[in-house]
Amino acid sequence: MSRKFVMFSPVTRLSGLLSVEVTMEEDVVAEANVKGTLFRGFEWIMQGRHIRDAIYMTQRVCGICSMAHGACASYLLDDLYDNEISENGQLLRNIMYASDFLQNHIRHFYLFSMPDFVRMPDRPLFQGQDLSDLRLNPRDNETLVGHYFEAIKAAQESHQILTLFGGKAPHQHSFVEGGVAVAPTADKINQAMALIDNIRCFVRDRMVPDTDLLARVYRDYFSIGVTPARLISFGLFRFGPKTKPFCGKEVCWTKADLAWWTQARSMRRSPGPGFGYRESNSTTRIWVILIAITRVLKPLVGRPG
Amino acid sequence: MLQGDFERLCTELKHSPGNQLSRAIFDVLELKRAENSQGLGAHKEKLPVIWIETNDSGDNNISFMNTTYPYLDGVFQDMIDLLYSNTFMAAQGLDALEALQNAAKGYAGEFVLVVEGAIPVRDNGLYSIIAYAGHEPLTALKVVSLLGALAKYVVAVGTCASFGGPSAAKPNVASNVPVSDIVRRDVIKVSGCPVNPDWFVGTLAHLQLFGVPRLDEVGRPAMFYEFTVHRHCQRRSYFDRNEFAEKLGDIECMFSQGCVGPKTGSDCPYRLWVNHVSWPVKANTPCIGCTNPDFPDGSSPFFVPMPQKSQRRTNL
Ligand code: SF4
Repeated sequence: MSRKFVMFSPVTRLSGLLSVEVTMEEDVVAEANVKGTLFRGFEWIMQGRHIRDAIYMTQRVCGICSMAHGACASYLLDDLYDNEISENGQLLRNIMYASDFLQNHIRHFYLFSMPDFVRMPDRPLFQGQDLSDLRLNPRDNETLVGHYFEAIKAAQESHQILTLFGGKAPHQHSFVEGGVAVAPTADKINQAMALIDNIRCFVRDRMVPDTDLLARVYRDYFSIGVTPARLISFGLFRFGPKTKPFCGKEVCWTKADLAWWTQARSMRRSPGPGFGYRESNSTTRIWVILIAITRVLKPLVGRPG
Repeated sequence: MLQGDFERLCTELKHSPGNQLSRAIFDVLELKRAENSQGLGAHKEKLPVIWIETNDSGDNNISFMNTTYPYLDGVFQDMIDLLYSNTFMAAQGLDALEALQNAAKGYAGEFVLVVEGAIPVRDNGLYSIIAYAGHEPLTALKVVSLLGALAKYVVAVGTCASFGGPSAAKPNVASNVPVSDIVRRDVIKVSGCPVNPDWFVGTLAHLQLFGVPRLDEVGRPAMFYEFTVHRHCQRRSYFDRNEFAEKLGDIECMFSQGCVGPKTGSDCPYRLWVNHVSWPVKANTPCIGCTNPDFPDGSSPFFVPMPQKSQRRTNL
């Protein structure tokens, strides 16, 4: 069997630097090793620093998901200092976290992923695009290109919500150990509601149909390159005065889960063709987040401070 | 249109039916716009830009995407031709490398080199690899030195590229250094962690319209960084009356909570962030001096007042 080695580099349209070493056997990929090729040594940077600096420093790990790192640092400090988080604080934290997620999902789907599926306009930025597997008809193609540019505003508006409560984005300031430093006054809630309305329209009228379309036209992609299920999730949003993770039974890290996890890993299930994209794609998650933000914002009205 | 022409138009058409006067003026406007082709001025040509990402968090390109008026698509349409950008370009792999090569050759002496991130110099720069050409690593060190010699302007975006920033924070295991240590020429340092989109897009606008902006003593465009945060801060009256916040979330001066506004050059208090809605002190937290050459080590511990901040680290 003839083995061939291919270096796919750079992988573009992501946060950071990435290359993939691919080993081919005949025409089949036998192995693909991905390497992130930038190293700053954050583990060393954090050592010896004041512990509360972690809230701001760790956000500098990544620009597109900065909030997640800062949130983790705050949760850990809450644990350490045995903080009680006020109800407003819990709600606001989740709104801020969710806004960053919206921003991340929209940018990832449109700015980072879409040029793999859609013929982009003839501009310097899009030259050299891989045209080998573009399948959309010209009309759908044009529609999606239009949505690429609309997504720019929807993502910016998501970060505007985070900034309303967090001072800036990326690397927000007010989601800190102990709660949130900004009060949800009526004006801010109102502005956030208006922004969320715009984003909701975008997701409903653009992002969901676009995802459906691509998932249908590229259905076979769901069964290409399925990896062993080596994923860990510890849940996302947290609730209650002691910021407990909110998670289904599949994501909690208890002894039973560990057993489940080990078993799942040993099985290395690879879902066959027809693996339902509906359960796995990002629109489901984005809907949950949108509904969550709207639900959470509403009751906040009328109880500032 | 001369004043005389305008007056004649108004006299002739003032009683004409329909919207003839408005239409006539609108036609003149359209004509002017077409003459100026890009809207602002006939001398405004798009800047060819090569954007190299090195060691940072990618926050500066995310912040750049938050630009409003113009929005990102407006910047791409009227201000810059982005010839290479790891974050935005459609091309991947060899196609991307080819684009880089063509841009560097085709636009030598004309392109703006934007560097986002610090450059690690340890082990010949192996801690930041832009891409591999076959098995050969194209290190940030090599690529930035090469392109730096060919560019018309070099712009460092963000504090890592400008001064080392968080990438060069102690103990700086990969020996990250700012772009100006690598290229032997003037570098326009648009610092910030991340950069405020206005600072970066505003710098591009200045390059496009008038060339290099006036820089402050550390190489940043003076129009954004010349005055301290403290000078323009909304809470200055509290500071002057010694009314300090007892905790984050209070409305008084944040000096007691570690604010380094007094030594930080930036216009955050009136510029604000993300469509100009807020900034850290407005969010009842301290400014941590993210535009400063000594950020982050010179600002830490972040929540300790300036006189007690120490750069001493304990258990390294
Ligand atoms: S909050 Fe900071 S910048 Fe504002 S007056 Fe106080 S010390 Fe100065």
